[in-house]
Amino acid sequence: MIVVEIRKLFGRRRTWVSIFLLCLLPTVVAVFLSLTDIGPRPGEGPAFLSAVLSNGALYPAAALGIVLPIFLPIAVSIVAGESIAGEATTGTLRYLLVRPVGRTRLLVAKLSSITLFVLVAVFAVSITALVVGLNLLGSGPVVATTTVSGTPLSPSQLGIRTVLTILYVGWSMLGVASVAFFLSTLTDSPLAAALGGLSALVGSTVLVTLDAADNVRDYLPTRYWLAWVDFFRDPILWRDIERGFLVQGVYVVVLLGMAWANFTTRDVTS
Amino acid sequence: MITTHGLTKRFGRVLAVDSVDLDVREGDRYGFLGPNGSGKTTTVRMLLGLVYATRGEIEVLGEPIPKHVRDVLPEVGALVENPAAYPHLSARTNLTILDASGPPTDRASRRNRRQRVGEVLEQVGLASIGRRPVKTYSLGMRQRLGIASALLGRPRLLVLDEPTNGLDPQGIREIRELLVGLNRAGTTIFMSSHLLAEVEQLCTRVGVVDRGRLVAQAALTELRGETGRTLVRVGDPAGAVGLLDGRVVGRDGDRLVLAGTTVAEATARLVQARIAVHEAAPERRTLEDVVLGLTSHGSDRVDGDGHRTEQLQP
Amino acid sequence: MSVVGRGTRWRWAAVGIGVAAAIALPSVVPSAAMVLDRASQPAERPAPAALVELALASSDVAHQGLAQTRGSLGLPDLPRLSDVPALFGSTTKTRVWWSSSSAWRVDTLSLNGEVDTYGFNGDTARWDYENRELTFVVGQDGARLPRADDLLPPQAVRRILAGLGPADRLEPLEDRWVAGRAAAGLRVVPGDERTTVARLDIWIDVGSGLPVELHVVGRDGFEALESRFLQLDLTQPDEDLLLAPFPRDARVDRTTTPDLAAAVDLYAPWRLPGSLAGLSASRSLLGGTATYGEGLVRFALLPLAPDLADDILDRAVTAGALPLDPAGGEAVLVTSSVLNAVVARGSDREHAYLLAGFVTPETLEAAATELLADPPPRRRP
Repeated sequence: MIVVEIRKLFGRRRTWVSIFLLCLLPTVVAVFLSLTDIGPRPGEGPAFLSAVLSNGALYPAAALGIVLPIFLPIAVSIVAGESIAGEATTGTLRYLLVRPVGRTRLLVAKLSSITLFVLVAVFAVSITALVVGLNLLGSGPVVATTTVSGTPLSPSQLGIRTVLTILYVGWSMLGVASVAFFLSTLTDSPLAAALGGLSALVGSTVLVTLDAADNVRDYLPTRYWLAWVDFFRDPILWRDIERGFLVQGVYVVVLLGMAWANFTTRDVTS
Repeated sequence: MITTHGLTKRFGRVLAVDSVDLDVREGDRYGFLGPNGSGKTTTVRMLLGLVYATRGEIEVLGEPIPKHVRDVLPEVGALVENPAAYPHLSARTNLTILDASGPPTDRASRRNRRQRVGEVLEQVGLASIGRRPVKTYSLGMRQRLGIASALLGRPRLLVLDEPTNGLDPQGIREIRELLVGLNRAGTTIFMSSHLLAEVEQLCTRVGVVDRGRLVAQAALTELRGETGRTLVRVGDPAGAVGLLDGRVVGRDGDRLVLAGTTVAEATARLVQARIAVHEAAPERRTLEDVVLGLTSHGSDRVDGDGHRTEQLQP
Repeated sequence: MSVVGRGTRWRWAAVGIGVAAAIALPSVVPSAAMVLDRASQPAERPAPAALVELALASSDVAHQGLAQTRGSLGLPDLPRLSDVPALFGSTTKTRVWWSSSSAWRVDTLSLNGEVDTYGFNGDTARWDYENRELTFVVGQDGARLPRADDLLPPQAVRRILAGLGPADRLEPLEDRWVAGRAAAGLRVVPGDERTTVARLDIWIDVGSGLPVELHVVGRDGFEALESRFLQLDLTQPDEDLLLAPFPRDARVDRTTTPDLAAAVDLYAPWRLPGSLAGLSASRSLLGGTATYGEGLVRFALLPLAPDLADDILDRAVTAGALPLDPAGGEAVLVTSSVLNAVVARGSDREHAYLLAGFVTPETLEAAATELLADPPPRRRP
């Protein structure tokens, strides 16, 4: 069933178009950067963009930083929102269930395909960014890569930290996915589920910046999203990353629990 | 094959199905007849474990539903409301995906999947459809694909909700013949319909629902019982009327409806009077009479401004 | 009885219990840990005075960790104050590696980078990632503006406690769970009316004497500054971490005057009076800048270059400062909860000063009036 779901998702042109668009944005940014050589001013713009001007090897991380706030969540939200509600809309949900596919099983299969989509998306963005970064922007040997703390970063270290960043960003995206996924079991409209997931994200982003929401800030899903920059400090600052991982994990578990509790007991009338 | 006791479903304040006791036996071609909105589809969904009953018990193939729904459904083929398929994929791919999604059984294993897909497409007349995506299909073709997917698992029980929707007369006939053939080969068929003629032509047993209640359930022949009157067609209707004065309650050309007599008595007297008898039989109720006598208007009839009177059609 | 009715309830109940556990865990675990940790320490807490002694002796306690400073002082964004307004007016996260007072590193973290300060034998090196700039500050022992490391609990608390006067009252406070340890609490209530600070709440790790949390509450009841460790480890940091990096593409700068205050200190042309507004100068006057008063009643006086003073005066008024009207010149008052400042300029357009400290506006105004009324003479080189 899991294999079938994954084939279904990756057999669609739409899936590949969204991944292509995700990769397109960092590429466009890189082209502009390489043409103009103008980086964002300190304290503004996405992280690392000034650094990648002289060193393209950091670009995968920077590219993830570019797609992380909006584009990646949108793509993930749509895929996750589509999962159950999409089947309900085409009417195929009832045929899957009477095939029979156990409801829990169906959830697991859908979730696996979403997870794989998230991973493929972040890896695709990083690999595109690496290729683009090395070719269009400065490359390694001329200027040694450094951490944010200014210490030198060997290629293997850089590789490890980039992969950790990819996994962390992927895990964060799974949080968005589970919101949309839960909503997808609640409504028969894929659009509503995707937008619901995105509004949760926007709401959380607004609250994180609000001083008045100080007491709840540390429990918001997007609170630790940008903590991936901590992978590039020397030594790595694990605290926020760990917390982000845990907070996100709690959201994922709770929302998937809710999705499960709701979907396994609800009437399928679509 | 299907037994329910006091099956009830309430959606909020609406009572969709109200203590229905179904009894479908092995080998039946069971017609579940009722006007639109009378709870047919909800009942079908409950039988398949899609909708959970508010009260009551369901047994399908001897197992309780929804508790053992997973053991039962591999042996059941279903068409619920409309057929549905992934519009961007072909019929063949759709069937393959659907089959791969569920558990294999002895009769429908992974190994014979390709063969089964070919078989059912052949059965419903879609064998030469090729790789066109489903979104280019006509309504009738989709209906055929829906039936094909119900047949895919070589089920012992077929649950079909309005199986002839969208088909042309030729298609209806084909499907009817297909279903009768499957039934002869041992498949029990449970179909819901609001088309009297269809049920009358296909089914051996009938259950009639009205506003969520099962108002009748019997063998078709039993429902269409004799009225106690006699129908005769004679060569000399005027003479016959004179002869059987007082017994004739209706006349249509050379056809007479007689009351208070039997076929034997009436033919004996007519023959004695040398009036030619072309036909003589006890009068039977039509299914239409039975059903219309038992049911009210369909729930989609809106009297007043918006006149929608799609009722049971003969 | 429908099978599903029951199923619905237990499934949602399971989810509900999971949510409750996830919410409760972050508060239950620390409380339990605190009870356990407190049980492993001596039952009697040291007296407040003994805690002060412990804290003052902690400048060479090796530690590493993560601290958070939250300032609520809305300082106007005046020219050349570098990151002081941000430091006192927002939340700053700082990593600390402290081997001793002569070998340490403090990183101020931001979303996209960090500014790291390395201290070694009185000199400092400052690495600014986003500007890719490495600045060595050599031989600086005069005045300077506050840096992020000054607001860390140990540094800030030691500075405050070192200046305690006899009038200031000490009270014990309940223990508090700070960065994984039960810390003993201490409250300082200033005795002098001239300070804007109503009280200081301090928590100290009894084992090492290291101050771990500080709250500064103003007379208006407003918490002006909060600084505490989020993570603390009382071990010797790795020596490699205390060496400033030397990225090849960084701009390298060497200076003795890293900020406005240091520049002023060097330039400082006036021989400042020995006392102002009834407070006597408490620091060597050699540098031409001074602090007046002691303990919590203390302010700093920086002579300004006249053009800079003009600039600040102009901007301060538009930034919401209050114009004063002293004899012999003009002045504005910038107030923000506990920290007040006065910028004054004499009518001769040569004498100009910045006075700032945790003292009442009246005290600063009095000092400024005295300065303008009796301009100090020029220093001999």
